Amino acid sequence: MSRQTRLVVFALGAAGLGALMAWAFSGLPEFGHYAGRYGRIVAQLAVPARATTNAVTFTNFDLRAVDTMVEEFIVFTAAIAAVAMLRHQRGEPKRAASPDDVLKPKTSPALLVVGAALAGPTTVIALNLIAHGAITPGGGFQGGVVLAATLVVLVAAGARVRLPADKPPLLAEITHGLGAAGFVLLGLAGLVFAGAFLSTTWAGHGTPATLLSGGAIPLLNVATGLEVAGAIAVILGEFLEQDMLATDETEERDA
Amino acid sequence: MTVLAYGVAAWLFLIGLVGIVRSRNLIGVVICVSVVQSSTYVLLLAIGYRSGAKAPIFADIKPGTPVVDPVVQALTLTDVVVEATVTAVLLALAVQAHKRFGTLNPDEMAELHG
Repeated sequence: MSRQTRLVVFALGAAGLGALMAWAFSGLPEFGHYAGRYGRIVAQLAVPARATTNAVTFTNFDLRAVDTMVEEFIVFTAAIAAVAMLRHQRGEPKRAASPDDVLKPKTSPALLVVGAALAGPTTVIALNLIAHGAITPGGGFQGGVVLAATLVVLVAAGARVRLPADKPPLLAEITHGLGAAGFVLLGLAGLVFAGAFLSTTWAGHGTPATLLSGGAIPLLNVATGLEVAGAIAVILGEFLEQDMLATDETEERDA
Repeated sequence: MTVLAYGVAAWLFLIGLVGIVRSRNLIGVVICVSVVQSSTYVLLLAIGYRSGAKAPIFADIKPGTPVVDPVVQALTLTDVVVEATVTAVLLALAVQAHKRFGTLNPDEMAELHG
């Protein structure tokens, strides 16, 4: 199909889709007048039932904890899929002889200063987000991503990344696996101590809005944070590894 | 206001699709897929919004204060996480496609293959 025909076919389809969407949206509740009961009940339950002041975290790590576990495994699987696709394969160009030199020159003094200054604060923010997930906005997913972003900041600042040839970044892989396993183990702890898989009540109630409130919810957040940070670090490591392949093309481009 | 909130969601969805169809670069396709998916964030958050209500965080407001729906917000979080992983896998696919075909243009790939 030529480009022109494709665009015409798409335009017709998109016009139909647009009309259907307009029709569907006209049946939705008026903006600002949502009347669903479920959300209101959840919001009322969060503090009295679990001492969790963040109703979103309460939804994700208590009511929908099994869904969140599956979601965590989506992240886990995606990282493995990226690794499987990107890992050095037969017939591919070899790694550059000195991969450090491939990465090193790409930074600038400005990036180095900003990166070095940001690395500490981003780590603290990440740990803060993970630890207070049950109290204020944040949690394992958000904090995990920020924690992995610290790695990006370091690489951007010109940190020498020594990835051993054809081997994954070990620390990231361990963190990644530990987080995923930790979530399931905490779920099993719920089964053993409270009679239901992923029940969070076994770890106590706590005073709302203190660090150790919300039963096992903060622990689940820590597991998620480890898993997400590890998974993203693994994926980033694989993409960096690609950058170290000595292809003829790169050499031409750099020359 | 209703038109604006839902209109933004519809617009993001359609303009992302336009980008996917018109794109001459796989990386562009991946970015457009995230644009399409971001329309679902706007839609979910717009549905759960209640005028004058607070964020569903009870750390600094009294229990019982009207808040926006926490369930759609939790769903949006799930959505964002899935979007990030989809992007990672699609980018890995784009890298592999570039290795195999030496180009990132989907049209040229079709020519080389067929």
